[in-house]
Amino acid sequence: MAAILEVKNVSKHFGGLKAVDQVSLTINKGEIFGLIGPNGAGKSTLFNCVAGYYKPTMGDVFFKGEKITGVKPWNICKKKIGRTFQLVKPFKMKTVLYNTMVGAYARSAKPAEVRDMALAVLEELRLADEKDTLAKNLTIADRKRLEIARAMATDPELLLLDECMAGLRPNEVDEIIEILQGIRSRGVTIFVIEHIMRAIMALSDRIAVLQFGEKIMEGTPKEVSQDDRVIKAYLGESYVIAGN
Amino acid sequence: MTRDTLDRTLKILAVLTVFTLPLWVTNPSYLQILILLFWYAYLTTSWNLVGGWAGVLPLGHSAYIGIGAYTSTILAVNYGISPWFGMIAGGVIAAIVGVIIGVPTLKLRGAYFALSTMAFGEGLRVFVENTDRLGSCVLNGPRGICIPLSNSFWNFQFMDKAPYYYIILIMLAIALFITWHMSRIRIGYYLNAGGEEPEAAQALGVNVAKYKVIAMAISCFMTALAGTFYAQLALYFYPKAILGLDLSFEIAFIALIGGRGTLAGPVLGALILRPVSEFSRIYLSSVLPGLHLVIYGLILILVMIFQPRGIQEPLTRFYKWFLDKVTVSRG
Ligand SMILES: Nc1ncnc2c1ncn2[C@@H]1O[C@H](COP(=O)(O)OP(=O)(O)O)[C@@H](O)[C@H]1O
Ligand SMILES: [Mg+2]
Repeated sequence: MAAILEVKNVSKHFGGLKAVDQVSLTINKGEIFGLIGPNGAGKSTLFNCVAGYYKPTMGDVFFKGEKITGVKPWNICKKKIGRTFQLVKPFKMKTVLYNTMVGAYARSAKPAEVRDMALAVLEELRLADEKDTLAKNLTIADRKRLEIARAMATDPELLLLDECMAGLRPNEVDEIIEILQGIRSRGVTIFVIEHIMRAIMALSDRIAVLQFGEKIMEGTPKEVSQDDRVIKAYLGESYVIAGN
Repeated sequence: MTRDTLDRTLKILAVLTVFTLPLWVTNPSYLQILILLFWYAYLTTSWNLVGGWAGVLPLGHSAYIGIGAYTSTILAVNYGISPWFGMIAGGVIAAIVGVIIGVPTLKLRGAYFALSTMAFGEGLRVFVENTDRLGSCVLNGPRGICIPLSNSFWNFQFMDKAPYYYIILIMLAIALFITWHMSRIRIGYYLNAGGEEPEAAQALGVNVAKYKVIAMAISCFMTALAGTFYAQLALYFYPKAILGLDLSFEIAFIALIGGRGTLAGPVLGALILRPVSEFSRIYLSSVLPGLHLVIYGLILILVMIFQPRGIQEPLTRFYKWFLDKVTVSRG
């Protein structure tokens, strides 16, 4: 299998804090790769290093063999990496369609074409009925989906999803899982941070676990869920919460 | 009559009225008031490309009015170049200055951008007020420049007010068309997105800073044209009249009260605030000069409390309600 994203010894320090510490991982084309770890483990920071929002303190990021360390976010997007934000950032005063068209303008300058592309994406994300709703009036579940829709509208080959299911009801989570599987089946590689164990286990081909900025293990969902360190560091606590 | 035909008929009537107004309004002072109203609407429409869309608050746009007025006037007085060409030259210089000012300042957040544009505007005024000659060009410091009389189209000078009326009306129409067109293509989407959520916009491929600078260049170019227009209308101008802070503020006030970032906002804002300004200038200026800005401030506070998106919103809603009402009651 061909690697699409390679993270090589990436570190990101904030002053004395090693938010990401010498993390390496390789994601293959067409794969769904999960990233888990307790709050503050450095997951979002690692995403920001890949997406160009932070320049890694050390290490490099390669996309399709090309070094993209330090490339600006808008150029990362043009290289066909899409991302969402953990705290969604919709253009609140604009409609769902407008929000999505901003993404689709990365592909074409022709308004009619862009509109059609955006509508197709909204169809896939099951947001078509809300296309004329102002983003500020959406439910949290729809906002999360809009966040994915906008990123998908840029037509990425690699999609970075930062906790796009947090705060959703179980049936809403199931719907997103279905949508993401559909996106993957079209050949889009997905790199996903998620707290909801059920979702990440169902979705991922492989999972890496981050703790205090370090990658403590990597493996299939089964391997990860049976690993002692992981259970201690993360799953134990989370399973207790999920059980309540 | 259906709702759409009524809507279209009313709009056509409005356009016809505006274009034939000089036929019935023959008193030159009234026409002058209308010309200035459109002039402010045009300025605010130009300002809106940066102040409304790019999510920042420029408070020094009078600098670009001044650049336009001084450039075309110096070119005409010293070198005999037609103000029509001088107008374009002023626009180009203003755009370049706007880019030079914009590149470092547009990265600043909120108040810092507003303050730095204000400082630039004031700096330019103080500089011009203290400069009698710039190389071979006479600026006359605070006394300003008189443009020699010679009426002709080529010289951008007319006996009557009506030609000025039509020129500013066409300028406003073009500015509105540019705004409308831009709002429907990529640059409009990118400016709006970058103004509202810069980080999200960047993730979608928007080089936010670059688009803001482009908007600044277009806005400054358009603003400078209004400077030349004013110089040719008044045939006499001085730094306080066209480079002042109060002019920069008045534009921002009109935009905020009318509806920032909207097409109709600047026009409606000017329509409502200019009469206030003219009234206070004519009847109250002896009491307190600049009183109109105080009144604007009070109106702004009220508008921001009750209609934070500007008066264009209730007015648009009222217009739609009116259309519904009339077409329904007629059956
Ligand atoms: N911009 C920043 N400046 C300083 N510290 C930061 C910054 N971003 C994240 N951190 C810190 O880095 C650590 C990792 O944060 P984050 O990557 O958001 O964790 P996660 O997404 O795994 O919950 C946290 O301790 C956080 O406080
Ligand atoms: Mg996070």
